[in-house]
Amino acid sequence: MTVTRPSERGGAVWVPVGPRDAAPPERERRRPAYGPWRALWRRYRRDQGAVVGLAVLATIAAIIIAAPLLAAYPPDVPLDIIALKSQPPSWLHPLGTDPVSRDVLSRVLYGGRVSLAIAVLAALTAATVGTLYGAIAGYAGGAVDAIMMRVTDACLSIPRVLLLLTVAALWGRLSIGGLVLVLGFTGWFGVSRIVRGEVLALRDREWAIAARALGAGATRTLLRHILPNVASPIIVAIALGIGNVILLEAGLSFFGVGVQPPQASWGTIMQDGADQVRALWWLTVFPGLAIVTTVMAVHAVADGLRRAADPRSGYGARP
Amino acid sequence: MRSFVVRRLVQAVTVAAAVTTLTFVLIHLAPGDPLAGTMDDPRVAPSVRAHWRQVYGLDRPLPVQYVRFLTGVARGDLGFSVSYNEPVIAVIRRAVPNTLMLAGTALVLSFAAGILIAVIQVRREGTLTDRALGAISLGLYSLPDFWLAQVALLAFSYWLPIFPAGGTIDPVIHPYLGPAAAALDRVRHLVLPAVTLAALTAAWIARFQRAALLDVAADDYLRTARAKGLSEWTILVRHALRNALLPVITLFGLSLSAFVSGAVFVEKVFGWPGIGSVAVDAVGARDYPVIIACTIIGSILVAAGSLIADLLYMLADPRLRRAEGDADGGATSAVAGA
Repeated sequence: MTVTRPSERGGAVWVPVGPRDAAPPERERRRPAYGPWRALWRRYRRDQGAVVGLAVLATIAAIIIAAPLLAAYPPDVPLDIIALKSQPPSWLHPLGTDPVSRDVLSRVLYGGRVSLAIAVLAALTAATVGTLYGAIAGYAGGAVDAIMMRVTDACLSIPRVLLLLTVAALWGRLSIGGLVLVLGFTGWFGVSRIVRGEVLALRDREWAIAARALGAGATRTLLRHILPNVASPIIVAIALGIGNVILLEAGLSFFGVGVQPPQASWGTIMQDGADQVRALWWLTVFPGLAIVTTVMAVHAVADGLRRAADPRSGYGARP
Repeated sequence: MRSFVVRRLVQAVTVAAAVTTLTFVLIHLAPGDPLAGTMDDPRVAPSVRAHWRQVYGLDRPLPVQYVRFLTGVARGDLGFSVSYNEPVIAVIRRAVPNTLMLAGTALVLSFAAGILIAVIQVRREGTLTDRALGAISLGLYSLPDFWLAQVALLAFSYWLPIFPAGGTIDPVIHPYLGPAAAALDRVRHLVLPAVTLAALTAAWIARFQRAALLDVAADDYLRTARAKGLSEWTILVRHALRNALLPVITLFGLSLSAFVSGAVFVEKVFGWPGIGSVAVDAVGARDYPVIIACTIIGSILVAAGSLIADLLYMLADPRLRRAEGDADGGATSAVAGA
């Protein structure tokens, strides 16, 4: 069987060609070349919810970064302790004022900076520690792996909130940096298990063996060859970690063991209204909405990333 | 099978040892020693300080203190609570049944609700119902636990006064109630905190169960069932769910830690006197032996629960009984890595 196609030069002249030439070479060239990140993005953007989540998250990030421009009042300074105490939402104070007459909108904007900064930094800390730990365990294998993973199993059994409360009680007041470290160092157990499993599976692939045969040491093989292939589950873990830490930080701050007043965070704003929830509902509702919106967006992004990276995987646990 | 049981038992003991060691390390990493708060007052004479440090063994070398701490915990000696003015173990003993009651009820509720939601979602896959339930799950999953607890309290205790606002029983009338009314009183107090805690986790379970159901959706036995002319509901519940339940059952042991963690803030908001409330109050009172005991006991509860879950799981799944050699650490650990 033969197929005909117009010749490049003659235009009108039809010449018979074999079936192998049926797909013209031009088509091959027109397909754009793209790497793994581009491929990830192409799969990611098919998921409507994930794209919306990303847009919401980007908007929130932009608003929070621009907080000094958007906030009409300083976040930590009482405006007028008599006249502006505990005012409900109004035109001048769209989210009301708190019991010491601070503008709640300004506090929510600035508090978002604190809450999100803690969440991002703690999640990154957790991911770094977890990746290193998991990579070492998975790459070493054998008894080292067994012992390291038993330790992780044990740590996973400790209710994270109780551990955080212990640290808070022992250290008294935690600075923001301390809070980041504590939240980071209590959040890496899950990541380390994921990374360990992946590294264990990739360790003896042909390309890893080839790298070692060419003289690469363990560190180089891990960092340059194996870990880049584990990037997507780690990124998903970071995203989920950010969501978890936002919730945890809010809880800790709400009960007075996280961010310390007068510094605003979404949790401390709610704490200011905790004893009069019915009367001062705006102190609970608005920071709560900020948290829910942000965490929902974070989870939507994490879901989208997971589906884009590996459409057949399960879901992560709450802290 | 026996080696699996032994290995899991060893693992449970490891948890207890690890959490005890960890808290010991934390205590000694923290600035000052346990007596710093009360003793490092300039008005306290140095000889008095030295005396009490000696009484509590704080002048001994660290390894000695560590062994004393370990043996103390093993004997159930968790120290003395300043804020309760009684041994810590007595405080914990009162609180643990309440936490077990709350977390246990929430656990059952959330698995029932989560699996039900997932089945409905998969039955109507791709429709508005599926998407709406998915969005609600995502929303619930993203709620701060203490915030949901507060809103629930506000809605169903103040605006619509259906349920009592806190505690486990009505302190005024409970002693005068008959057995049935007393039980009802307990249930009424349990509903709000348990449903709040369950709602947060049900969303997570529903998402997991939905994925597991869709995973088996393309399997041959489902095509066979469909070819036999069975109704879609029968296929879904009797055939698909049976197989898709297994990965979700493994969540049982894994989610215990999340339940105890979640229970902490929910308990505090509802004034439920479990170890979560006790721990939060202890932080405020700087009563650190109590909170350390809560952490140790909480972890041991979780370890014991996941041990029981793994053993039950092994009984449920014949494949696990046979494949004992290659599974490391049991069903729960296998999912933790997934």
